[in-house]
Amino acid sequence: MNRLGKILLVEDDHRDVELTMLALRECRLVNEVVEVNDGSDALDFLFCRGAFEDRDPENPAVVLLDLKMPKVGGLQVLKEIRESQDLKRIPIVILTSSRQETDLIRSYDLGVNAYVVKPVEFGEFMEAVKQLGIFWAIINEPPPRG
Amino acid sequence: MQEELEDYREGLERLVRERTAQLEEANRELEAFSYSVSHDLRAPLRHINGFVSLLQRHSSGFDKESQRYVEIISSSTSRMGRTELMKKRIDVDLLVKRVIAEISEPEDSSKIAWNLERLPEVEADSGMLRLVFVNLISNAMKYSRKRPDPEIWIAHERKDGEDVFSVKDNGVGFDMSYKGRLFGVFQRLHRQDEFEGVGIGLANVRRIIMRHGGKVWAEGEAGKGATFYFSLPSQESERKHE
Repeated sequence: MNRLGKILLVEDDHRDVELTMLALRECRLVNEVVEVNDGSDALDFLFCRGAFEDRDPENPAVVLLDLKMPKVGGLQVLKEIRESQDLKRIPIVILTSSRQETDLIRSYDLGVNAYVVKPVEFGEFMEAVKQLGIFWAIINEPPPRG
Repeated sequence: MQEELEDYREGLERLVRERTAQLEEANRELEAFSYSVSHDLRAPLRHINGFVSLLQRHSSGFDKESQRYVEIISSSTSRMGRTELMKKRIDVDLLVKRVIAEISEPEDSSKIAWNLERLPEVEADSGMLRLVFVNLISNAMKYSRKRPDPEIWIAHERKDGEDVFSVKDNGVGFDMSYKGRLFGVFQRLHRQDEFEGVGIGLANVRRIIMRHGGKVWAEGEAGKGATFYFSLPSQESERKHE
């Protein structure tokens, strides 16, 4: 079982943040959800630097990662995570509007653990996020602490 | 002489290769364009859909009219977002009458003479089939608008295991030599100031009908009107294949 690690939500669109947070709240996860709004903040959080220098250094149980973001995009974040000795095993789920083949290929090449296209219909969107939350925060066995 | 022919042939082959490359490039650009359009539409659509659904959770406090507005927004956004076919039995007769009522302005309905045959039930995606009729009927209205006596016929025929529907008008028509371009994306046979439009309506009609396993075609004559046909495999013939 999971040790109730954090869920890191990386999403620049505040409307998507609100809908995603709502879905995660509705599945009553006890895991803390940390929200950052662009790729560079995500990297600061993961590498415990900048505004996140003093955070509890445990890696999140899963990162829900948007692709199209200003400054540092999702693929770049994914790449840096996979290149880091300390972070490379963190489960990463791409949560995006893009079904573009190049995005899918790049993501899988970079070692993503799941790729989910945000459903347009509200009920389906909520259901998808809830399933992701429950699976990665509760059912999935995380990598052992380094 | 032999050499000249050889040169000529090589020149032609090069030309074909160049043209093919240009066409492929244009096709890729078009795909990228339609992809980005649909991508750009999907995010705002998801937000409208999401927040309207949240609003509906509070709708018990709304008066009847506000509840109705919220329901309309909600059903319209889900109609836009759907891409997979959801087939069910549809009363085409009712569908067509609703479409006509929906798209005609008060001044049209008195002017246009409608000839509607009794239309059957079919198995199809109702939202998509509705789009097909919206496109064909509004085209018929648009291109017959300048006539003093516009007339539109909507008919059905069962033929070789297919339901064939047709929408005919007595409008400006088209030259049959252009019939291959009618259903292409961004193809327009008329100038923007003659008849408005961006040229994707019939391309959508074709895509929708093809996804249903049917065909589209058209007949027309410049100045004498046009008839647009589409076929859907009828239920009897579909059952035989199962």
